[in-house]
Amino acid sequence: MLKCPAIRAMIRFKPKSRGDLRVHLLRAARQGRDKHHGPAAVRLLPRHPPLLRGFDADPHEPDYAPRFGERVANVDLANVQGQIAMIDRLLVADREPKIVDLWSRSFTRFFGLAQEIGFFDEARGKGVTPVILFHADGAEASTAAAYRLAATFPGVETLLVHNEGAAPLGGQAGERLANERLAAYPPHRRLKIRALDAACARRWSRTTCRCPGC
Amino acid sequence: MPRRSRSASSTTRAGALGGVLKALRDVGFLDAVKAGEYSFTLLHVLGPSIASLDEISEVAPYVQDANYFLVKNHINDTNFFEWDPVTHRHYFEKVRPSGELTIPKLNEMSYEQVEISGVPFSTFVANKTASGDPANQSFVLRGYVRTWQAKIADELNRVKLLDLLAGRD
Repeated sequence: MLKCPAIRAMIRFKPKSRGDLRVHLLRAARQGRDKHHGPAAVRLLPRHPPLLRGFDADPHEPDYAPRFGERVANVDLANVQGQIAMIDRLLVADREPKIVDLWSRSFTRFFGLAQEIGFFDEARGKGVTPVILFHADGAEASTAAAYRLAATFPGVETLLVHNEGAAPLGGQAGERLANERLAAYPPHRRLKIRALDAACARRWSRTTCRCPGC
Repeated sequence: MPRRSRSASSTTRAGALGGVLKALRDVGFLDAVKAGEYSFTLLHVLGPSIASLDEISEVAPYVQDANYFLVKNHINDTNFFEWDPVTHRHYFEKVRPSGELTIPKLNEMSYEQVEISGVPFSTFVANKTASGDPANQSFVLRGYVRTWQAKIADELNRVKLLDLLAGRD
């Protein structure tokens, strides 16, 4: 069973027929970090095609689901009903990309279940391509979890995400230290999200997200 | 069954095993087993209850020449008194089985869905109806059943049960 107490992975599922990979990044990596970086990522979402559907796997402190209304379902992966509600829906070949936002508590449960029931193989068989966006936070547990994930699911496309605002890896030492810490992770392709300007971040945190399609 | 003929199997309901073994003894079948004319394999499926475990001592006198397997069928989260060594020894040391098989627990929702569908486990996993048409069963539940079946297959392979039944021991 994979164990990672302090990381977060966001899995994006895209239909095989679509050629471009669009990244939809929602949450910070570390527990207890500023949650308001979540809506910052919403601004990254393109207006066209329509907003993606998603699943928020944190039943206790959901952040993704409340911001996107009916398009995002809050599920509890601790029970079979919640697993069915999410996973069976992900495997429907409806040509609609979907996002799964995994909190650290649901990370282990989801990937353990995926391994147990053969989820990624089934997805491939149905023409659905999972993409894992693994948020790095530099912690040893995080790098260990990244390697276990890569070893367990070697054929699943994974991007290593460095969210400067939510989980700055360089601190005062800046880019050099951040790169050193990222080098400790598996050699996935990387995605970097710059930190929001402080004033924008404060303004954002006071507003309620209103996105097209919500 | 004669050693070189095809095998036959029989299922006995709970609580009747002692009576069946007594009948097999009375008709001379167990003597024939002892003489090597037949091979006899008994899978004794245990439930997590004292009444079920009491059957072990009833069975013991009849299986000395048999391939006798204790099958722990985990229908819930109990563990056959393994947490209490004294009680565990009291029941499980009354007999020397050829081996033990563990049937892991299948989650309730998966099991009940199989029951509702009215098909064998394998048909459920294959997402088919009883008539062979495509069904619309949950992938999650089918996945749980498939994994459960694979674990049971591993158990059977571990004790080489199929080889035993085929006479390849």
